[in-house]
Amino acid sequence: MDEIADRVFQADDVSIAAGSSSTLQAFDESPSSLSLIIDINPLQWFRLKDQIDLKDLSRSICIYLNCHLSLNSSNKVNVLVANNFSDGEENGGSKILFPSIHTKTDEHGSSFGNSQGKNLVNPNMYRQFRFVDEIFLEELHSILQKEPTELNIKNFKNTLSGALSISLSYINKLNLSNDGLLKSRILIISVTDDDSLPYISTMNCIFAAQKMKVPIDVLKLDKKDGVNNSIFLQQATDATNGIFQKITHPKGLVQYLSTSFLIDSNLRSILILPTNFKIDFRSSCFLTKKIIDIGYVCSVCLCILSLIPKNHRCPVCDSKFDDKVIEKLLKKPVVGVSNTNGKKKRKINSVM
Amino acid sequence: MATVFGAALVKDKSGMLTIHEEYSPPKLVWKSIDSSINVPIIEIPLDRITNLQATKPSSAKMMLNVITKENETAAPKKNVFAFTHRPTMDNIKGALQQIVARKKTSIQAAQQSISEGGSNTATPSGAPGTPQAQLQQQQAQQQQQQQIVVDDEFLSNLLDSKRLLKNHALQQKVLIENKQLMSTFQEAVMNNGLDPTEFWNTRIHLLRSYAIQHNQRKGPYNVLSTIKPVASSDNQVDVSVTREKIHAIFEQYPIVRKAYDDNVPKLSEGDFWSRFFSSKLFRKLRGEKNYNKVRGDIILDKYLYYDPDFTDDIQGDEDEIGKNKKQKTNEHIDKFIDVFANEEDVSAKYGNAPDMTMRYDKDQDMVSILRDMNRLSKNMLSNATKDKDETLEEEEHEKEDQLAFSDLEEKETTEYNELKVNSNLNIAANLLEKNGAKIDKLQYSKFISNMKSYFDEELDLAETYESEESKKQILEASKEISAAVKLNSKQSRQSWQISKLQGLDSMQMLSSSASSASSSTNITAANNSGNNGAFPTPNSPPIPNASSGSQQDEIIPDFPVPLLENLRLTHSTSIEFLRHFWLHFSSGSKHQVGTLQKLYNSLQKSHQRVDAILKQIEDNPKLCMKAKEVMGPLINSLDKAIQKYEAELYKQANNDNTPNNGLTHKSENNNSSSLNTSFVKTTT
Ligand SMILES: [Zn+2]
Repeated sequence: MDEIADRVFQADDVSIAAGSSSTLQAFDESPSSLSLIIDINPLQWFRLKDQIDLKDLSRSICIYLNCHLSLNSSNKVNVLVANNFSDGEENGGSKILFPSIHTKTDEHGSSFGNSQGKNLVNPNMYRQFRFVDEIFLEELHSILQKEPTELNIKNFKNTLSGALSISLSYINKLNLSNDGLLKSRILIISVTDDDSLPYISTMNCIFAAQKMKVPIDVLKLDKKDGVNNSIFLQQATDATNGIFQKITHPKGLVQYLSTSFLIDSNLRSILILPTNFKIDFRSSCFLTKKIIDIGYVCSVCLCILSLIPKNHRCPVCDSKFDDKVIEKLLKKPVVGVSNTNGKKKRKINSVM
Repeated sequence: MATVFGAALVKDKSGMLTIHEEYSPPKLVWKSIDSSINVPIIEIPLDRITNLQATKPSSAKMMLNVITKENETAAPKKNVFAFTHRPTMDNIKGALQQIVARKKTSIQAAQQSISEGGSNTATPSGAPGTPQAQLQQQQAQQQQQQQIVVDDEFLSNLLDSKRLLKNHALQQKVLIENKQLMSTFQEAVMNNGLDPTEFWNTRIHLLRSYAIQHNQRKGPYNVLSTIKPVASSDNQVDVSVTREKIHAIFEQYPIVRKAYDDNVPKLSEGDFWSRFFSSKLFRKLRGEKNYNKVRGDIILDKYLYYDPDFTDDIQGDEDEIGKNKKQKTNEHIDKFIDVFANEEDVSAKYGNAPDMTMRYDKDQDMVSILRDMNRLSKNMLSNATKDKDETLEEEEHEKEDQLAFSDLEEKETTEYNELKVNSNLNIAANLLEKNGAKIDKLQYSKFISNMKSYFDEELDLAETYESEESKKQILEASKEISAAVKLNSKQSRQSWQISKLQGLDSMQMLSSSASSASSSTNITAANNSGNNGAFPTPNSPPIPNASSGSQQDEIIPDFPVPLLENLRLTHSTSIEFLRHFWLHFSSGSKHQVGTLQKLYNSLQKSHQRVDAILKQIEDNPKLCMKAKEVMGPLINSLDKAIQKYEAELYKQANNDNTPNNGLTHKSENNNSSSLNTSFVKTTT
């Protein structure tokens, strides 16, 4: 037991006086912070409407948040949405729901209930839970009100990487004010395939989380026959010792949340995590955004390409590619027939 | 070291017993105190001792019986000494024991050095000091240096890729040491006709690192630290020294050579070494802290006070050594680093006090050991890099460098290359373009409107589990999670076993965290609706055990070992071919056509081998499925490569104005039929 406890703390760089009882105590009592990112892409929710809706999800999330808060009185939560539309102004984009910037009430909550004065959850609920749940629901509600009902929106994008950035910033702020004693983790409830994400930003978030030792967990809601396409998110969980689960029983969501996704980051090194997906390590082409298994890599910025750009310059860092190398790369394979001048592009370098 | 002596009675006559170690062999001498009585002096050369007996500590009598033999055949002779004081007796007994032990050791050492030195010479490195020996030594050094040059040339030759490819002996060695590589080699090269040069071409790094590894020369090392005298049960000190080690000792410790030169004609070779290994000198040179606490050796320990850097330049007679000692103290020390000078100018009271090496008056022994170690390191380094003589300027420069406070200098800042990242590329793709088209716009609008009223009424959290459907799915979810954990635990069995060793059952941890989680959910739910017993917890905490992959386990037990081995071999061989295939396919060189075609055939055979294995286990669907799963990526890779090749072939054949040309060309190959069938495959 001692060894394990020590190992955990070594891994987490927490300096706590050695000795089993004190480490275990600290281990038990160290509070943790949970950042929850909810993907509210209406297109996907529309597709999933027969299995689960945002209301079902919100119920389970309330229970989940309450669970987390009940484990330690100093535990913190932080809820964000990744919204898909943006009017370029206040509306849309990624937003923090809790802690809210709008609700100006104190923690003893004189203004429970939504704007109409109704209760959003059972008013008999434990005050701390109710405070969090109501603000979360209230904010979510107000964001949904702004959702355009028409489909013809110009900017309709996956803003998950933005939400990830915000939540990492939030965690960073928490760490600064808690001397690093607060362990944080992120759970992304995702419904959208992530091949539409901006590669650089997303990878930066993953590396930042890795460096901050913040596990990123992913709960992917998909149609039963849905082809899972969450390459970034799978890589994110893999890189950060997080959990990736594709949910096949949406009505049993609360079970996933209250078991798999309640594993504290302190316990990651001890437990066998219930990730139920084989991680796909492939990458997408920077130009075509298509997932590729064989491609070209810029030797300067490591961007990945499925084809050689016409101007022989890296599209990301604008480095000029060596003509000789390009010439070599453009050589076509010579097979069977010896006098050939076939026009075929050739592949190099496995990216995997 | 003081001479050991003590009062002892011989036949009731009191006298003084003395051990004279300065003689070789050492002597035990007893003289009567009372000169008036004519009692003969007893002299026992200690190499004659065969046995030593003493009365037990518990006994009142204190007698020491020294049994000697004149020669091998003579009858043993007893010499009994009686003592009045036990510590005196013990002291003498101890000294005798050590000398006897040393004697035995020296016999062994002499024998050893004779056997190792061969017929050439029994003394290590000739007789150092004599002109002849010096000549020999110089020659040896020259030889050594030549050897280094040769080695360097040899190495650079060795590391040349072409030569590596031709070095079959080396390749054989690499194969013998790497079993896995050997089996790949056997499969791919010997059984399936891959060109061995091809095989090694992709593995030059292996050959190179092997060549480097096995041609590294050993640098000098502190030879004395590798010599560890072991006290054996019969009071004997076992030391084994090889000729090389003796040579190294002389090189690293000139003082030992000096001692050797001074004494060896007098002492026997073996005796010298056995004395040396029990001397304080040996312990001090080795860097032992408490060298002064051992008995030591009276002859060799006087060298303790000699200048350890004693070299051949100064001819070894006692007076000159004394002079040299004086010279040493008069030596000019740079004021800047002179610790004694520091004492005259103490800027802070305890400036150097915490650092024992910087104190002039503390624990001289310790400091002198440190100095010895430093000196040794310096010697070793200067031996290792005997490069060109430094010019005066360089020397001056080095001195300046030594005196500079490098830590106070400004740090160089790292320079970075600015990357101008094109941010236009880092934008999210529009989701509507991809997904929006197929969506019924009217229904969508309805859906959004409905969504806006989700939270108009109070949210009942109990709904998450109350319906029959929810209960069912929660149970399913719990099973699914357990299954995932089980599967992952099997896949990481190693880490699993580690955690098990540490006495922690991780599954129990998970299930306890799970149950505590669901109980806290219960509280919330109860608060909400007063309903208890809400969530089905996993039936019983499943405890995955490496051996109990039974029960209702969805995971197929491990493959039978032969099958697994078979799969592994097929896999590694196929990968081998794939590697070469892509290498040549990508080279775009006309000269590769033949090789490429061979490789293509090999890939097809690889594919057939995989298929054959899968066919073998067809009757076991579970196993077959699992095997298909593990071989899946390989099958994909093979398919991809084959497909690419065929597509290219087809294309080039079609581009050709005379397609028949290509076919005739191919028909020369005995595999034309398989090629033709593949054409059909790709065209349909
Ligand atoms: Zn680049």
